[in-house]
Amino acid sequence: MTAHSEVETTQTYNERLSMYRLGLWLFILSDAFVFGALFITRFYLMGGTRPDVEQGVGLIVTVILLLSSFFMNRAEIHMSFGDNQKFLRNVGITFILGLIFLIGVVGVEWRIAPFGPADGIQGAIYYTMTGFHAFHVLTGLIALAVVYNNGRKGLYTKERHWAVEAAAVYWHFIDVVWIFFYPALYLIGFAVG
Amino acid sequence: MAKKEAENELTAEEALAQAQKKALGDGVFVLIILGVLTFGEFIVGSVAPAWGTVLLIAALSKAFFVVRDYMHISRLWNNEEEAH
Repeated sequence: MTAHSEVETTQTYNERLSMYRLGLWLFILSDAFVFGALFITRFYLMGGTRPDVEQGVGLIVTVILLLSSFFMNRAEIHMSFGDNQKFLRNVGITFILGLIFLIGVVGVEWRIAPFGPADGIQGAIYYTMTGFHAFHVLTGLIALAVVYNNGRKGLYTKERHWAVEAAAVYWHFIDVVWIFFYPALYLIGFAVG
Repeated sequence: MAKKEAENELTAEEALAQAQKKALGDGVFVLIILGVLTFGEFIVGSVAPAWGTVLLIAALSKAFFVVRDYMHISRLWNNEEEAH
């Protein structure tokens, strides 16, 4: 490949990249509207009360998800500097933390909650919001598994790793959604007794 | 000439290492902010659950840092700067 065509290819790639980014952010924006609707519904239907859930568990799973975002950020940084080993290590940690979060919400919190999905407004709101979010966590974990596997095969370089960036942005979006869901479900208002 | 080139290369390597260190440091800074705000939220939620506005402002602040520093939203309009 000549230097000229290499420059051309890089330019084409950068142009494509800007379109990919725009597409991803448009998708995130559209998804955010759904979460926004759920968020508003919670306040419309429950007002100054909140579901009767364990605040300690909420804090623990929130810290775990924030930590996972931190490690995903590190993974992306290491890849952008071409350090594949550290990238893999950090994606692995992110995956494990994401899995713990999922188990914490669906496996623990859903089990110990003193109400079910059909028990009035609090049940409908709590299980819809956490369930919809958990589904996104699950899809995020699949994306992480894919980039981890591709990273293991050495398919990414410091110049070209759009899939890593996309998985990271999606994972952080899941974190941002929970940043709003956590106070809405666990902190704001008095627990429905 | 060769010595100068080697020096330049070393400087470029050092600059890269510094950039990486800065990026990792920024990540730690954001994590500390998120941790402090989350703990603050938990305390407020435990003692004054009616302070919804305060809790929402804390959530907005946390989201701002994540969107700016982890999601790098500025890449949308600074494509040349950080092409991956």
